[in-house]
Amino acid sequence: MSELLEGLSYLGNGAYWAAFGVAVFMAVFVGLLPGVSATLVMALSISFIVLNIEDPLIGIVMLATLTGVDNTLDSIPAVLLGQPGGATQVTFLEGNQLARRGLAAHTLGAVYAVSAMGGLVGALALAIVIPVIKPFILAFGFPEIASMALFGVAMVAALSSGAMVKGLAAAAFGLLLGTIGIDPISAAHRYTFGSLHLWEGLPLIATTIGLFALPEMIDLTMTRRPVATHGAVVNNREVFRGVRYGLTKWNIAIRNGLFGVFLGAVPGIGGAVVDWLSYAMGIFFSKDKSEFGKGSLDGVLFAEAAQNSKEAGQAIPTLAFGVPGGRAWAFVIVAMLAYGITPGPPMLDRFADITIMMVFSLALGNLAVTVIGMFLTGQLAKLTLIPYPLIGAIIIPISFLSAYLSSTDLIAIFIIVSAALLGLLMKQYKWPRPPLLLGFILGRIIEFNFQSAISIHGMGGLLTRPLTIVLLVLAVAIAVTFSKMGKIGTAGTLSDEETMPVVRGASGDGPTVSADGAAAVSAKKRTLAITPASIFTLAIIGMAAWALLEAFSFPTRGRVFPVSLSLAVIILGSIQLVHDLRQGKTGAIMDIGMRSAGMEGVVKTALLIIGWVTFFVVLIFVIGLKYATMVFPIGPTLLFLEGRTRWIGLAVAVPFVVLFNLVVMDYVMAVIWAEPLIPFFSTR
Amino acid sequence: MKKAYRSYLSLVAIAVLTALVLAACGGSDDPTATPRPTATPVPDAPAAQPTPTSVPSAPGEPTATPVPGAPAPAPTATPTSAPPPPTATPLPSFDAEAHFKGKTVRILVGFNPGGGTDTQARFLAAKWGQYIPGNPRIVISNLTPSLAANNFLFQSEPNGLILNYNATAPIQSSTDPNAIFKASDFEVIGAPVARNAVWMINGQDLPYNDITDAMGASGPTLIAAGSAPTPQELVGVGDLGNFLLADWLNLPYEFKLVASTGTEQELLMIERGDTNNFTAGSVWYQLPQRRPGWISSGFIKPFAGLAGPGGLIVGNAEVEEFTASYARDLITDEQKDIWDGLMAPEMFVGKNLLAPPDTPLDIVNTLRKAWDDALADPEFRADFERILGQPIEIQQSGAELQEIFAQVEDAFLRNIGQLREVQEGVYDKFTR
Repeated sequence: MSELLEGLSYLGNGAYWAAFGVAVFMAVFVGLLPGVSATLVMALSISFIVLNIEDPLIGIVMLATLTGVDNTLDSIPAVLLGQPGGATQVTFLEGNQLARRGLAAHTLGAVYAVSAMGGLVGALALAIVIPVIKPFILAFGFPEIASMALFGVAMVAALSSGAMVKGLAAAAFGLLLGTIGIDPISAAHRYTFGSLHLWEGLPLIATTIGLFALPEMIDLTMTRRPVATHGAVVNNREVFRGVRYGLTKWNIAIRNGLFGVFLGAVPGIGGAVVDWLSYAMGIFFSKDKSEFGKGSLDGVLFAEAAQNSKEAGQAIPTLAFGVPGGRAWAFVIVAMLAYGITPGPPMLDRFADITIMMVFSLALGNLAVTVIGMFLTGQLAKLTLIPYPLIGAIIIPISFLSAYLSSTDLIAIFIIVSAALLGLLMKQYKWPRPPLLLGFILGRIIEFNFQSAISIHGMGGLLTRPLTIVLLVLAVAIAVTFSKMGKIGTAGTLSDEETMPVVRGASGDGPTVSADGAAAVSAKKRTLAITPASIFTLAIIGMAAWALLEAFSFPTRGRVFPVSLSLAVIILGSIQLVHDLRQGKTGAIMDIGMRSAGMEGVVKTALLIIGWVTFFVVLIFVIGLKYATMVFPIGPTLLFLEGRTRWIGLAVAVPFVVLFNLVVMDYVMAVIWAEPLIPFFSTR
Repeated sequence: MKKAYRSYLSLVAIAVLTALVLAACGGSDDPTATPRPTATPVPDAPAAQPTPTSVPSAPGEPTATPVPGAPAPAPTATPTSAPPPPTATPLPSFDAEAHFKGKTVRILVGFNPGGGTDTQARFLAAKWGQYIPGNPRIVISNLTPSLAANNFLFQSEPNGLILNYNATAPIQSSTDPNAIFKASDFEVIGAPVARNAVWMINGQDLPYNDITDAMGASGPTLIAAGSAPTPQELVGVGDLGNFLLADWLNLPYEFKLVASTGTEQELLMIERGDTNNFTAGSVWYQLPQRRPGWISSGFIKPFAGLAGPGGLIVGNAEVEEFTASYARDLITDEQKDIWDGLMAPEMFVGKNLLAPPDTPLDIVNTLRKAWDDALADPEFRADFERILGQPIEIQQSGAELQEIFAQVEDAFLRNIGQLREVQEGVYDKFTR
């Protein structure tokens, strides 16, 4: 008790409040600046904190606050700018479509309210469960983590609604992409093409940006218009309206918040899947599923409630027995060890003051960031009123820089471009991208934990673990339920137009719908014909066939997953190919459509932007990434803006990217730039 | 269309001009890492011929029989008196202050931000610069995997402005086909700790008090788990060393392949009951803090010390003395030859700071002196030990370590064929 009181006495300590303020400020900074993560800021600051802040409570709580509250504002780039981070893919999928309807301020207001409530739920759960959590965490071994990840696979059934075969094939393809890298069980180098930088697999950020963000950025740039439609309401009042709406969703905050705590508390689940799993759970319990995938605010809230609370969940194993719940929490452990603080039972006894202040700071930090976010967003959301070419001129090169940071090698450029090409083609031919991304994220978790489970317990042993069996049965039940739920996100377009300002003249801010619509799917006479869609499907089958052949050179245990997944892609792809050859139609799918489709002069515009991006990529190799990104803004601003705006855009975008390169990339991160072909541009 | 085409070309021209201007304004002013024109793989380069250093035997090491081809003793004792011959070229009238003042020293880290190696390097970035004349700014650049960082260092300009903080001596990794370096070509600036390891068991599940109790026993079986080594990885400390001992000493041992992500997972596995033993280096010293009571309650017992010749393991906060047998004392001379060849590259140093090959001697000596001065400062030393999570063990200077690098590498490369055969044999025997 005396330790608790001692902890609370810090509320009168100026140094504590100063450290708390700095942590909140850094969390706001991290949330707003694309390409900068809390992990990076913690890496940069940990030795400074440990060496200069003598009071362990203040140092540790500062780090915990930074990692615990940085998830609120990272929804801003995802919603406003169309740039998802590692854990804001659902927010991007649903929220960016809402921003396109002029609802950015409202959406973010609701996100803040639910995030704050989710954070409070997390902090409260942290305080309550630490004393009793240990047996629960120990009950989750390799088999249970693999089973939990299978919940995510069940989600594929929901994300594939409208195009089940394509969705399943995309998910299998994503899982197959997840097998790239060194297999820790067999030591096989799988599909690494001799590159050291693929040993740990495809980098998540580069793949996500390429698959999801870059196609949208290019699409939006082509429209030459702002993200939001004319008449969009962007001001603080709209943010507060959103907050009020969010507050009415307290049930989502509690339910999905607790789910986030649970997911965060299980070491090995990984932060990147939490939003997807929470989204799946939200859809499962929703009565009206027609909005999901085409701009559902509730969909965003399902993900965001869990995103924030999972941090407190990750704090649980960190404090309860020194197992970092996530990558950022590993820094907290490092700091604790450096300060001589022992995780585990002492956190409830000798160091209970640290625990109570951590709980308090997480709760207060979430509220503080929310309030700051509310006041900033009224202004920030005005970014959605700026013609997107100016945003794209800044965000596209920064996306390439973020991708490069993930491997410090130009292979990241190859990955982002390949993923963008794949993403664009998937959009064009109505293959849903979310299942692919989910499969990619889940692939390594499932395979590694399943293989480890087999090693430790044997196949027979798995079936004697009650928790594993329960989780597996639940995963199967959810998959079946989702698949029987029918059309998620495929109906109600009309009512959307009635209630929300939808961009007109474009074929879809909502889901991609075939020209003649899903309803036109007909079983009438169909002749066999080779179409571009069938060629794309054939290409997917071809890649899987190559992966299958390659897999036979792997050691036995290293080939099980690649062979199974390649076969799955080939079989599902073949079914789809027959469908394509018969010119069968695809229903509405759960993905963002091409906003520029149907625009006047779209072909010329497409050629211009593709030409410029191609020139940019060539430039990266010729003069180096650093200088190529600095000149990139010239294209979008001068090509796609008009009149005085283009010069203003140029005057803003070029200096912004130059400063970002010099300050963030060069000075703060000390990035090692790849050598360009022309030595004059060498930065070394 | 023609007009658009012309506009497009104009844009490209503007872009190129802008790039030229930007590069001219802010281009080649960072001299930290100009690659050398040629990066020749040097796997077969002749090793240096060092003079063996005399290192007092550690407790439990009464018969440190010299073994032909075996590597040098582990550098855990007092410094040797005779300085080794210089390995790099001195600069004429070198002014260290002028060389480093206002410059940026880049320390590479072959791991992602947040791990132990990265945190220690960031400590050096924050605190070490003041011991270098001119007090240069030090920055950390993460370049993964560590093989890429060493490749990069090998190609870098040898001007003292780019260094690499490694987790282990890059000797074994130099045999990877992707490696373009030879470890002993690097200039060793310093190293804080060796990488002796402790094999620990679950004392509640297993009836053994020491490795000698398990020799020839039919059970219960020691069950360990970890990732598979790649064909190039002659993994020493965690896995293969245990395989060899199990084979030579007839221990009931089984190794299960899992996707292990490091120490925390190993601790979690033993706590969940997935395994009943694990091997760790610095974690031995950190365990009382990470898992208080594990050792004092008998849940975890030290089972064996895994060290090279002369390697010394001491007690930690929960046990005053390290009393378990040193595995090297229990094996034959012939086995010691193999043991040393496999273990020394992993164990003789842990973390180490290297400069590119052919860095001028004056620069190398300046950096080595800065390292020694920093460690001689009680405040720096105490802070560094806090970040390391263990006492600083290595007393030798960078120059002395340079010699030992060469000896260890020489022995390792000469015996690598035999070592691989041994590895494959025992690996298949115990792995499930």
